[in-house]
Amino acid sequence: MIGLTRRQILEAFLALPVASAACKRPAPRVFAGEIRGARVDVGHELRKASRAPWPTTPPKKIGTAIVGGGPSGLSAAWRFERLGYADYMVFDLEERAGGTSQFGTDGVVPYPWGAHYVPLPTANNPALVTLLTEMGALEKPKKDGDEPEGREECLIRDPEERLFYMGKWYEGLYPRAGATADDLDELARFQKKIDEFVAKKTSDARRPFSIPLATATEDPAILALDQVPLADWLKEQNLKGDRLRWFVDYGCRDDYGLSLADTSAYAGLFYYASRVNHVGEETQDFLSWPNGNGHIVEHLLSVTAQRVRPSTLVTEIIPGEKDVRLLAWDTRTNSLESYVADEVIFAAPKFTAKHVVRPLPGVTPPWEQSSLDYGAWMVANIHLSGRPETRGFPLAWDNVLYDSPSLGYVVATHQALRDHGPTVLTYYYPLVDHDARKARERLLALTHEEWCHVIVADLRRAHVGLEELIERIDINRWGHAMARPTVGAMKQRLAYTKPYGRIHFAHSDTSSMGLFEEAQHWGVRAAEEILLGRGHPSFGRLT
Amino acid sequence: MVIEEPEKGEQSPAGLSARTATWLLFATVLVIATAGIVYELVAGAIASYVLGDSVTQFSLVIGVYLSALGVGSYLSKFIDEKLERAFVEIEFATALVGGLSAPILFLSFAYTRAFPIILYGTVGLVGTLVGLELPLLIRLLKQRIELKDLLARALSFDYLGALIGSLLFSLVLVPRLGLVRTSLLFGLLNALVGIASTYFIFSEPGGPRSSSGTGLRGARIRGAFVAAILVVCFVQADRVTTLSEEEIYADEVIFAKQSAYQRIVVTHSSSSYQLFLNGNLQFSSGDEYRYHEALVHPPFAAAASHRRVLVLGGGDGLAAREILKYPDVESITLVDIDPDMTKTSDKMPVLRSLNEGSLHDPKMHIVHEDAMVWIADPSRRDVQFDVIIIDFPDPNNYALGKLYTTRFYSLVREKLADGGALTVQATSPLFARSAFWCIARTMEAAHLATRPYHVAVPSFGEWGYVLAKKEAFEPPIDAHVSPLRFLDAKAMQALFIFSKDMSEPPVEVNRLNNQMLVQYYEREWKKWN
Ligand SMILES: Cc1cc2nc3c(=O)[nH]c(=O)nc-3n(C[C@H](O)[C@H](O)[C@H](O)COP(=O)(O)OP(=O)(O)OC[C@H]3O[C@@H](n4cnc5c(N)ncnc54)[C@H](O)[C@@H]3O)c2cc1C
Repeated sequence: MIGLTRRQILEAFLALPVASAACKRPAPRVFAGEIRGARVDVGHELRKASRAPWPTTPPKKIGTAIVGGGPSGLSAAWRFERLGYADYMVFDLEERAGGTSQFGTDGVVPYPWGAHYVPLPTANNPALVTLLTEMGALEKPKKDGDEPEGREECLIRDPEERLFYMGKWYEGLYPRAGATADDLDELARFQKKIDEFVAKKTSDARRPFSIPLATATEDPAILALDQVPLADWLKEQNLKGDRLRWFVDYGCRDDYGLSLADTSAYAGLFYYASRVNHVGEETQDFLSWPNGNGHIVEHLLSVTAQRVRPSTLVTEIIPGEKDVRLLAWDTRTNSLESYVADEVIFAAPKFTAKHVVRPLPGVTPPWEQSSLDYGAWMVANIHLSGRPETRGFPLAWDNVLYDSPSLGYVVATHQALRDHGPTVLTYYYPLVDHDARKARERLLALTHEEWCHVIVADLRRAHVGLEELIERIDINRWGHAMARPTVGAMKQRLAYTKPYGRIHFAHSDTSSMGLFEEAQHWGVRAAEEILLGRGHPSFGRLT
Repeated sequence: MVIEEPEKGEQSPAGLSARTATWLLFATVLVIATAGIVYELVAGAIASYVLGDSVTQFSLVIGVYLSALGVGSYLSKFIDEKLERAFVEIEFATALVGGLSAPILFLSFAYTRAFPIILYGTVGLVGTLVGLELPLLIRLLKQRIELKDLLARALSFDYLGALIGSLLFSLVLVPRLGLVRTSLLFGLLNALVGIASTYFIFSEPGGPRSSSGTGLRGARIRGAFVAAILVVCFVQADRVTTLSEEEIYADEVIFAKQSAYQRIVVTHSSSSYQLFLNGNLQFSSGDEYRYHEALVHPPFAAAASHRRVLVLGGGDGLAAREILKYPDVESITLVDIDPDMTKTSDKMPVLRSLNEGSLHDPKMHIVHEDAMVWIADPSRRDVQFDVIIIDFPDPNNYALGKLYTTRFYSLVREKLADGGALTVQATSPLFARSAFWCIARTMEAAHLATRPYHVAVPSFGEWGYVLAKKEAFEPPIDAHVSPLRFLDAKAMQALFIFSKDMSEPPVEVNRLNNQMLVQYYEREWKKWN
């Protein structure tokens, strides 16, 4: 992308009309701020560090090594702590654990760098219900077996979302302004289809779509949906209107960083149907905090931090018959340490596994049986000295622009209940190219200044005078943000649902979807299986 | 180069060729067509700006304007002589009425109750005048050009003008000049067209020669006068806007300030002062004693102790004035988001004499923070109060709506000492019945025992409050403090009686994640405004 003009960049990232409008005005000033996220692209560092000679000092012994301190690794550690098992260690390469649910603290309120909400769990998901209860995010159940209810201050405050459509903000996400009877009829038909899935009987009597994914049906009739792009499925249902397509496409981009055409119908329908508890009910409310899911990470760390080693990259894992050897590189002291563990929980993204894990003699490694696809995302935190001007419906938690490839922005002060003065907007831009490699190239090609042009040109349409309020724009480039549930991805992930020798796989990508619930499920599950294998005193399972 | 002085009005004063004059006439068509559409858009925009509902306003304005164009065209047939003169005078009239239309409309909305009449009157008049222009011009041009050609060209310039006008209006004029200056600018253009045409249309060979030099001069002087008025208004346009804004208030504005949070305005009428926040009346000095006595004394009568008092909102210091009547009050903490509000209340003599300097009292501790943020602050977890007075503006937006939720009342409850009492100003149980009862039910959902009550405050109407304690309780029967002007034992007991038209409708509880109250409030007040 080197050598492109500002206009070409804006055209490539925001489409022609915005570029034309933006280029009529002088280029916005240069904004303060930094670009981060290099570390997160582990591949590069791993290649640099691999083949380093192992230290000659004897390895340190630990029971269980957890590689990766994102929500999945920390959930495994959390489960260990709660069951009274302390012989483990979490390694994370970043200065602060949390993975893609990290958050920033140097603003007027803490703000997210990645994940920003979880839907209220149903009683179907005891792991998450337990965790959230512990955090004080759920009301005390009035009687046993009640569906969980969110604490008022953790549920998203109304107004939850608004849409900038044809020059004005409107309440809600579906573009209702000017919708014809046909449009609304399509929306109703779509909702009815979803309800049909919620009610559908399956061959194994499990729910067709359910969170965590592991509790959903394996009925081939439902799994077959994974072979069809969502766009085709919509066409088959004769759902063709622009508004509905936009609405569903937005859902795919928002949850998976994928376009309608690339999302598997299974994943797309999962997004809608897994969040409806009973036919005809509304989708489950969302829980969120100023720093998004960073709040959950904070809680997990408050339980586990003494056994979390940040700034430590695991560069090599050698599985054996009786134990597993690990090589860890402390990036602060630039020293190598070796460990020997009974088991490993690999809670780092799977695309790194082939660089880190040596194959077990005679056993085909899972990465040779599957390939997962990871999306590229740009996330910007825009620090403002005041609230932006708005035409129409007032500032909400989630603020979406209809004709934008970005997802709009979330307002960090919203859940802090602060409605005046400075704030931080977290702006999300998934690069939804069909080819993930190309998306990554595009992501990395732009400089801080260029990304700022893109962001400001996008938002300025909806907010007159926004530039004057901007104090700083920090940018994070997530090269491998999350696994993308493309067509056929559900089968790809199966290779990792069983341990590879003494290595258990956690991480959300074990479900091919970047969702907190999936990260937690696989983390907790790995911890529970390991304790069972160790003959730990019996306990009630959460997975 | 010396330009020859024209001798008399007989000959083309500017010495123009017929061809140039013809083109100038077409240019005139273009200008007046542009101005015409701009006046129409200005009126439509102002109507939707002050009355809301832009679809209706625009369609009505366009309808009236187009039909007035028709009236104008029809009327043109009654002008038989002195076409040029008539045209020039009509130009000046258009300049004056059209040019001044925006300031007239703004001010009439502020000063009079006749805004719709003035709106459609102005639109009709401008439409009629503009409607006269084109037929007259065509007739003037007819003497020079063949009809087929003439109509084609005149009409295309007319429509072109409409295009230019509508593009300029939204892209350049409104964003750059604002509505008032836009209408004045086009008035000025009309006046200049009028003046300029005195230089070229009168010279038409074969045209009537009756226009004497003095007549011409008179027309030019009138034109210059019209132009001068418009120029002066253009320069003074900012004053027009503030004038009209401040005159939305019925009385003289004696103080106006835009703070970071709201617009604070104090007005003065012959016998009283009023405070407005964002255009909403907060109190009138004539009857605020009724409001504030009813706000403060019931919770004081219901509370077991008065030592520590919390006031949320209430930056005008009037509730504090009532509180300070109790000698056993040891401290008052007042949380108001807006430093400008408490400063004004403390510094402005009128307000200060009304609140008797309460904000200055040594017992007073003022905190400037959003009450929600303040009350949720965990560092203050253990602080409690015996009496809590909650006096926020009405819940007319989401930022205020959060201060009436179960979440907020739960936090307030934690701040209430055992045996303590609190009260909430709860909008009108008559005008906003569901909103009022929604507040009471929401407080109950936060585990407070409530006793709703109300009082008549002439400048507001029937006004409501909710008294609450953590324990079940009977309403108080008297206030034990003096001097009071309104509350005695009888009045106190009467507060708690609700007539049928204020009884409770079925309502939902207001939570952060549904903000029901804002919806009730909007819906109900809309009926009265
Ligand atoms: C922009 C964005 C928005 C999102 N929004 C949401 C949302 O709103 N809701 C939601 O549920 N989910 C969201 N997600 C998905 C999010 O990925 C998951 O919620 C969750 O963070 C996944 O946790 P994880 O533990 O599986 O993986 P990660 O968060 O990826 O954690 C993996 C960790 O492993 C570490 N690591 C990697 N390799 C090594 C190594 N060799 N040695 C040591 N450490 C290593 C990394 O540093 C990282 O901390 C979002 C993701 C992104 C990128």
